[in-house]
Amino acid sequence: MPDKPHPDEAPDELLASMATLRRRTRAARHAYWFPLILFGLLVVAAAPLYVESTERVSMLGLPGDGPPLAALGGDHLEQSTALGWYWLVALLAGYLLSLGWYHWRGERMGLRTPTRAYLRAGIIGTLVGLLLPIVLRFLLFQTDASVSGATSWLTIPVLGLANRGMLPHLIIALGLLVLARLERSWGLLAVAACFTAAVVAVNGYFHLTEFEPGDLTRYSFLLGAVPPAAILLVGGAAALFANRTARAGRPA
Amino acid sequence: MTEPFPTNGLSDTVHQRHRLGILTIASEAERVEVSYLRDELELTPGNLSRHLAVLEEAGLIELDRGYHGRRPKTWVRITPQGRHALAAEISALRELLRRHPGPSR
Repeated sequence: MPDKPHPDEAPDELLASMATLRRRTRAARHAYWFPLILFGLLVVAAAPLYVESTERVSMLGLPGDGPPLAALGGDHLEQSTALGWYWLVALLAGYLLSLGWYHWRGERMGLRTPTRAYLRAGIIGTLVGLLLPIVLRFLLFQTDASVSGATSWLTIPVLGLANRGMLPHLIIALGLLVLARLERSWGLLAVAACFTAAVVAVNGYFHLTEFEPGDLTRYSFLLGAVPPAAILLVGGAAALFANRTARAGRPA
Repeated sequence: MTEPFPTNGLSDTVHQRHRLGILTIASEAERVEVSYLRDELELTPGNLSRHLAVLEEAGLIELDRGYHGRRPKTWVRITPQGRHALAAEISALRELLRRHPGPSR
């Protein structure tokens, strides 16, 4: 037989106790320091592939003839194909390792975070990342002038971003934004938003600047692609520190 | 026509501190292990399993029993009805508070 409701449980006390439980459960569930640091390190590890062997003369790059699965590396870089393969493996490994982490931690803590939407974001993001340059090139070069002209405000900057090998950054950002929703974390949302803003700002700079010969160096693309990783690494370190502090402060 | 009194929205099954606690925690996760609930709500195993049985019988939670290695583990998952009942309870409590503000005791 169900228990009788406790007559002395006042609404404000019940609501306050539920709010406390909700807050504690969310804090216990937060484990996003791992994907932040992991993806930050994966961006840093890609650094050598963004370095060119000679000084650049201009931003122009020829449409690549690399395998479609290596499309994530773009066309502008000398090592675009290698970068494309690297990102394909790194993104899949990053998402799978993050899922493994959440699964392991959920079993250990007794509190599982729903991660299916995160996996979906990773898979769909990677597939879109592979197909998007093809679609953008088609819209820009293979369609009627009226269509390519009307869509160029979007296709040119996004294709530029893809050609600089920075679509993987947006795929990482998408996953982190989905994860922020699943973790119900403002902290992760702030880190993911800052990372996205940094990637967009870097690409806005490349898009809007009229480069003269000699403006671009061997390291120009590296200086665009790698620094946003600092946001992930600093955010991950701060989240790890906050996590440890919260756990140390909890009664055993 | 007068509005129904908010206590009509309170369910005998849900309107109990520990059962509300179970539903609140379960609503924040994909699933939650019984030992986590026991520690968090400071309940004895017998007490917790009695509350879980009431909620399961009402269709507000589902229990998955299994093993982790050789250790038996029971996971609690909130059902859509459970989420709905929790939301209804919270609305009723807020409405009560709106109609009767001030110190509760």
